[in-house]
Amino acid sequence: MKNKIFSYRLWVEGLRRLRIPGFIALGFIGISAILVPASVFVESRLAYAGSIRDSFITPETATHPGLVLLTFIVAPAMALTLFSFLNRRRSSDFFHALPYSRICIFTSFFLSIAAWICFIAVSTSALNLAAYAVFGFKGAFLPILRVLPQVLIGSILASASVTLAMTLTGTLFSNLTVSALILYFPKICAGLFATGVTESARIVPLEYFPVWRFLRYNLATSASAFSTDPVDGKELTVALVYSAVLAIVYFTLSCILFVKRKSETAERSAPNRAVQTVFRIAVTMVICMPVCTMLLFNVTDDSYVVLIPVLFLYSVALTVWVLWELITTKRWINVLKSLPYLGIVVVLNVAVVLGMNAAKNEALDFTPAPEEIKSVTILADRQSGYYTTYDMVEYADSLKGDKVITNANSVKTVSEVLSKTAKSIKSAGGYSYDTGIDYYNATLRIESTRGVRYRELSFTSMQYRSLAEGIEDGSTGEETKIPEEIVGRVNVPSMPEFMGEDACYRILSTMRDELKGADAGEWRDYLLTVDYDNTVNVEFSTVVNGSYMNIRVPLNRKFAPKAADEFLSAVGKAKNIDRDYAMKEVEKITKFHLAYDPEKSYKYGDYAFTNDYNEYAVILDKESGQYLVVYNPDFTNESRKEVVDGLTDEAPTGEDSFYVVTLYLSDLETGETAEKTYVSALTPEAVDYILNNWHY
Amino acid sequence: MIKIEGVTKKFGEAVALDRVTCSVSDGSILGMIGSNGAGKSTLLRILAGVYKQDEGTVTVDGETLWDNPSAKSRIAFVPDESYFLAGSNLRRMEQTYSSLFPRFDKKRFAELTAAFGLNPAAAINTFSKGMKRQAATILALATRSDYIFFDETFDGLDPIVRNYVKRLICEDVIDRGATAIITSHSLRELEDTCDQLAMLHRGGLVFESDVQNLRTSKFKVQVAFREGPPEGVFDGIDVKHESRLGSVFNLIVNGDRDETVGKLKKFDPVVLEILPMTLEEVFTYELEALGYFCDASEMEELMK
Repeated sequence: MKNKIFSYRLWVEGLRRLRIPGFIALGFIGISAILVPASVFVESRLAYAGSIRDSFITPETATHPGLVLLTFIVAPAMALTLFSFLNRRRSSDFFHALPYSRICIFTSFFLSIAAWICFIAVSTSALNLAAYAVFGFKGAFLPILRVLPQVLIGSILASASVTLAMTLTGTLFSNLTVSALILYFPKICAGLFATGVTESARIVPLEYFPVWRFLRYNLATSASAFSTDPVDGKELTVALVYSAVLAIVYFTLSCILFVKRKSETAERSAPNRAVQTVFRIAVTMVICMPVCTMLLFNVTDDSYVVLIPVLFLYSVALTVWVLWELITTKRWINVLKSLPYLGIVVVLNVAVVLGMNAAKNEALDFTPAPEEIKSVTILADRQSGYYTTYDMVEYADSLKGDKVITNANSVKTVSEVLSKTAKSIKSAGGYSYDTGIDYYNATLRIESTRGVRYRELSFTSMQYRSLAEGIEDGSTGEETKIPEEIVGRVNVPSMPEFMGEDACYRILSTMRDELKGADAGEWRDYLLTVDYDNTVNVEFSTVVNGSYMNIRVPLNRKFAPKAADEFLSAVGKAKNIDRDYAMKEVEKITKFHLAYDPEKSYKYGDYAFTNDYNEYAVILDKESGQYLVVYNPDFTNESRKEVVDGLTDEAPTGEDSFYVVTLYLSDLETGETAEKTYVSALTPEAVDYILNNWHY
Repeated sequence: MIKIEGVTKKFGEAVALDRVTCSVSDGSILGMIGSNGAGKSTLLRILAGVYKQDEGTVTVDGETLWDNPSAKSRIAFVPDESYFLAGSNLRRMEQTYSSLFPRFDKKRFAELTAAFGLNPAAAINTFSKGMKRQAATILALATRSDYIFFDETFDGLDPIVRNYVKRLICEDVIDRGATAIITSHSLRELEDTCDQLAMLHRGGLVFESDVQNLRTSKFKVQVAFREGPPEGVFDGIDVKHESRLGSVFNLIVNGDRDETVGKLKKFDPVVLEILPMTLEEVFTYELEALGYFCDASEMEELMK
């Protein structure tokens, strides 16, 4: 018999042994592949009855969510099932006695898992596509095609990680814990290290922290990794390549360890005491890493009280240390023997804290002079991607991409802001950094003679405009207008849901038509500086270069007055508010607010917090006795009442005319910032009117 | 031919096998006895390619065994605790064996299953210990391997089945020229089946010999003389053990029976009787002669 590395017979035997988990997974994922389109269909028909469009395409992330099970449950479960023979002496002996080389047993069985994964993924995706077609949806093919390689590579990586753990261990408990360590330990440690450094240095964006940046591309561990967002094309490629390379590395390591593994390792948690010690230290360090982060803050700010949580977490770490040894070896003597190795944990803790502190100092010491800066790049919004479930992109950003700036004034601005911010953080121990409401945050790639660094800085509106003016990309802005092809739902998330899809779609259509005649450059400049979090946005999906994009664009009266009117009408209709009356009130408020003079007014109560931690501020105009309530739009009705009641009780003039309405209206008028967005100080008549007509 | 040379195997600090050397000729049956922990199972696992020895070499017809599919394809191993797929029946195991062992003989499997009276459709986990042993034996014999290793296989089998299994093994050896190694902690289980016997004790091979030779080369002599033993009476006789009860000498002698009788008759003994020895007695005296002393319970265990 030849010394082969693959055996068809073993491969078939592997497939056979995976029949039960395979068919169960196929059933579950297959059902979800049909149920999701069915439920989306029912929901669409119920919620959008009489819609002007006949077909929809759901957000791509919801296209075939059952596939996620394949990576996170099915692939690891299959590896655990097929290689479980390594955990029992008799089964381990049986397979090691077979007339096949060890490498042949491993590769054949691993390929059995891969075959099942491919079969389930492809067949259920086909089923999913068919179901979408049956229910009248279109365009599901591309998103599925995008998700499929991520699922396949992620699942194979997950299997390889588990098999790697299984070749190192010999009990189910150690299989599971070491699998979790292999999958998540680097990510947890790097994440906590990066969080510690970026939180204390404040100006280093977490997503650009060197090691962490890579680890989040691990498709076997990132639940939100299954992105279909085309703006992440480059990132997706990196994630696919990174995960594939990692899968190959893990597979190769597993293969080597499987060949070298002694059959007698079965029923033991580790092949030897040294490896057992490594596992124990790793498990304990998972608990210690948050403590290191706390200690870093303690180092940087003496006022930060961490003693109790630190002591508590270290006690937990010690308990984990003891329990691990006790569970895996079931002997107290081994626990006692292991105690001296706690010294390694202490040394590692000190090293991590010192390392984080050094990284923080290094980050804050990067303050290049203008002449040292070669270029500055404003990075497009990366909030869509592999570490967040937020998958909406700004349309302008998606089309414009990253901006490179070499303009001397802009570079000087960046240098000054960076230097000032770093100095301020250093002097205040990292706790005085306040972005403020009127600031624009930007993530920058700074290429200097001292290397390339990523920094997150806050600019005043004037500074930011100076920065934006430095952009020389030759763009006319035409590309930022709304495309003709709109697919899927249109939504205005800050609006009440009952406004309806048709109204949203009409607003978007009107806006698109109006923008055709707008000044493209002006529109582009507006998009460059607008703060999307404080605008009324219209969200929709379109197809760009054959890929789907979820997009949001701000609704603005200056560029799209008819769309703004339609929006107001829809709101008024939805909320049963007389638009003319509301507009008059808004006019009064706006006038009052625009005339707001810090010299005449003062902040009453400054900033305060309600029980649900929503922030609000109260401003009192001394001369008119009018109060303005500036508040967070996420306020519940109870919170609003709480604020109003509180003000009524405390109002120096006894004025009881306070009420709160959501003033997206004022934003439409001015397109300005948050403080002016949500304001109300209504007359008693207006309050009566609203109370009588506003249906919660 | 199986050749084991200076094989040592350690589990941590414990030495399971210590420089074991022996060989097994093709077409023969080696019986290996030893108490619990003697190293029998470890040696069989090394021979089956499951374990890798720390020192020494193990070859089958000149081929090493560790991770060598070619050599392993000629070996079937029935461990002391047999492995069956979870929830499987004999049919499923037949399917597995036939896909994993290229020479698996389905016809022989069917014949043996019928002969043992096992239900191939019944779940193996419902089988008794003895039935599981039978199932493992059937599967191993159906692989038609050149070398078959049985680890404590007769343990748990009733006498009828035990004899039938022994007969099957002998048939395989005689008909196909297969080579078998059978381990047991009981000599009586092996003495009527094996061509060779070896004894492992605390990791070392303390004894290895041909059974026929053992039976014929050693015998017990009872001899008495009228006026005490003449001087030099036992010279030229290989006395392995000597004891005296009154004027009667009990001797364990190694050598030619007639030659020994002739030598003793020259001294005109009043009593001269040659008694046959059981294999147990031969083993006991051989071990004593080699300086290996088990405690009483160990010896009793081995000889039962």
